[in-house]
Amino acid sequence: MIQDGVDPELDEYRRLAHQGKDYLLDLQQREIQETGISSLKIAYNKVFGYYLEVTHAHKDKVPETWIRKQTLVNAERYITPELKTYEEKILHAEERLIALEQKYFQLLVQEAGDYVVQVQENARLIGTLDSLLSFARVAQKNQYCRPKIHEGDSLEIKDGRHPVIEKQLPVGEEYIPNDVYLDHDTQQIIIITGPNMAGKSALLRQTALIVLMAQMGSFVPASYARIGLIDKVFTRVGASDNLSRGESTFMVEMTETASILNNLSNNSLVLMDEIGRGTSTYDGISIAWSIVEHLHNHPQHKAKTLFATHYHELNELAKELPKIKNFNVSVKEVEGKILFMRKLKPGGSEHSFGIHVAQLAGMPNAVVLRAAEIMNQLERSKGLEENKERLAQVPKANYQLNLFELDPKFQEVERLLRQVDVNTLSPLEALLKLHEIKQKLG
Amino acid sequence: MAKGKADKETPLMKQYNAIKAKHPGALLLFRVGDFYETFGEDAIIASKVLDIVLTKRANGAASHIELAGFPHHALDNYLPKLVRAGNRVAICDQLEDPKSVKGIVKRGVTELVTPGLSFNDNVLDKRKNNYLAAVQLGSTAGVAFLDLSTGEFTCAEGSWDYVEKLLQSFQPAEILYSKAHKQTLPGSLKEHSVTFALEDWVFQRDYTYEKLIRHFQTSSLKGFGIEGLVQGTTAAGAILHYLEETEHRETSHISTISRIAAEKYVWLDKFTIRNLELVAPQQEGGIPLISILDETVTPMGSRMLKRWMVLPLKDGALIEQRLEVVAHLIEEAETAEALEQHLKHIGDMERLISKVAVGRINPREMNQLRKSLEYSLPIKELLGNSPQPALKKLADQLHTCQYLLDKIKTELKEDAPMLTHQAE
Repeated sequence: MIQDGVDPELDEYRRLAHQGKDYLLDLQQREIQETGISSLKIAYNKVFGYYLEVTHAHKDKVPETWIRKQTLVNAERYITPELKTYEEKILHAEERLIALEQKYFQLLVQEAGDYVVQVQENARLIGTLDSLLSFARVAQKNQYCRPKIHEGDSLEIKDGRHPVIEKQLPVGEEYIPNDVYLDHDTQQIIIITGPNMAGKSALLRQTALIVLMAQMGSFVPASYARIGLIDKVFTRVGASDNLSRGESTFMVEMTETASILNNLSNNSLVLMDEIGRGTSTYDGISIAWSIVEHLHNHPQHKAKTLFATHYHELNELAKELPKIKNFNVSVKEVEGKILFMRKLKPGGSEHSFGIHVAQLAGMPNAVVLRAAEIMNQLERSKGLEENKERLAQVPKANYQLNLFELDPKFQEVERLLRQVDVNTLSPLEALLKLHEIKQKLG
Repeated sequence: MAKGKADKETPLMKQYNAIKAKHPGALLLFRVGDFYETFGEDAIIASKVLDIVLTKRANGAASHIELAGFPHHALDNYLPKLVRAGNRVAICDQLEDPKSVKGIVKRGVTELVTPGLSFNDNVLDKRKNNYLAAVQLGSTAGVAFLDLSTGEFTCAEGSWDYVEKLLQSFQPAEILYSKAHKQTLPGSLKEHSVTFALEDWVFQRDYTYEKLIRHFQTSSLKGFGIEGLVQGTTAAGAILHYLEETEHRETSHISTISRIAAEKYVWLDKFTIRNLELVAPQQEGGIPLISILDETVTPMGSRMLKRWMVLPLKDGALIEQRLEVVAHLIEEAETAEALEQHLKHIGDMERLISKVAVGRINPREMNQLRKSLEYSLPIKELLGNSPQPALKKLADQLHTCQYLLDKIKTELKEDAPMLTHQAE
């Protein structure tokens, strides 16, 4: 283990141990010649050290001076005084050798102990370099672009792709890239409608992933990206895995959504996918509607939001609220079948193509046909048109937030006011109270 | 005659029971001669997890007790399996040379291995940090994380939401909390597969503070910027207490503690980390983003990248600095290629040096450390010649550790064995 030349004592023991072994080999040769036992072996075990082993075939050739130690099925083991003398020398040398080697190794470990902080620092630097190299390699391999980071509020992605899905596509199929633009004042919220399976969720996720990758310091899967720094990312995407805990899907969905609305910031990015899906249509539309309004009208936090829904009724919102824009993930209907184009286009969409999806999923034909029939009937009864009209008449959100909710100062003022008992207040006290309140407002 | 002995324990079992009682909740590996034995319930678990034979031994005259054991040299094989199955394992060794004592040998627990506390390469995934977390509940919650294998030690405090989010990001292998909160434990903690409740007095401000300043040999925690984090430091101190309790006494590689500076990083709520599948897939067979982005070649890189992924930056200047280097490395493909060639040879120097600090490194690993240091040298040189300021700075910061390097080279043979007690 330890190199030659570190300690002369160590080298000496090593030489002795080796020499001893050479000597044993000599001894073996000598005994073979003297006794004529060609299969004579010298071996070692823990119980009685070095011994001579003779097969039964040669047993009668063993000299009388040898001392028998053990009988095996086909051999016998002997020792001789000469062997034992040498054994002692060898074992002693080896013992000392091991002890010294351990000592030197321990010293080495101790010395290395002085380098803990340096090596830890090196590890951090190597880790950093390795990570950055990894970013560079991945960017090159997957044709990512360098994002432009800025302190403003706009988020602009051209030809954005989903970094994971684009790698999973079958050979020959290309990921359809999409553009996304969001800011505080012109396009704060995008409502994306479109049928299931058209790629709404992927679009939402890829937008968040591109932003996060950029802020990790990585290049991003897009042809161009200009990213105003985001400080919080919230997602309500897809089914949660809490179902096994016995909470209902809808409860989980609402809990998660509530947590989003209560923690917003001005530079948040919010992704919501199919909010309100877990309940009845009217409930769902109503809740989704008021959530979008809340995000749009929030006095302090203009969270950039992508809102995917299959309730195309929500498209009505854009008529009233200026910072909301409608987009749809396009599909083409060809001879009663649909083609997913996976391209985001301005404007709302009219159908949810649910029946086509049912067909794609292998639903029995009779069920699909019957569903189409029922839908035709429902549409003819103008149920949907009526809904739309009714929604357009929904009273505008009375979004004057309660004065006192806005600001902690106001809350303090409220507290003071509530404490005052007007009936017992003298005019002077009233004046002083007013002064106190005014000071609270700074 | 037999009757009198029937309910009397053998001296060995008496010793066993005494030690077992000191480590409740731990599976006890009891060294008897060349074997590690398990008894009773432990034996049933061990025989199942390890697929070893469960036998019975007549203990005293009448009582029978389950027994399962394995040869001591197989410990490295079997221990990780037990730990990975979620067990806390106490290793009880013979503290005296049996040859030199009459009667029963003195025995004691020399190490308590838990999922969150391990040095064993077979338990640890080198591409992942193995965190032990401690949580201090309250109106402000505190949390601390320690990777014993690398010495990384951090703490934080804030709302329970925030702490929960950190737990989601760091994915600790084991979480400690106070027994006082056993009844009111939040759901996400209850669901965590490996948690351990410490006595509630451990989570006392004075006690834990004292533990921390004694460990770091400072007079306060101001230098670490965590003096004001009452709950966070309490959690951190509880971790140090736990190290002692589990017989981890060599901890000099835990050389610093820092605050997790949440305000520097993008806030990702816990749903988001999961929904976006940043580091772990939501469904089995899914592909998380990290498996696309991680092309690192060293364990340190892999762990660092993972941290970057759950902690994206908010500071534009810092982001630009990383982007600048990435752009440079793409442009200078040759340099990048050369760097990678050297990096490939660098082993897990972070965990190796931790093993040095706790005195558990073997000669073969010492050579791996040497190799890692050796291959850092050309990297330092390449980066030193780089026109890129951040890379140049990195080069300046890299230590050559020349003295140590030379020392290992001149003293240790290159083909040194794993064990120190083998003759050549």
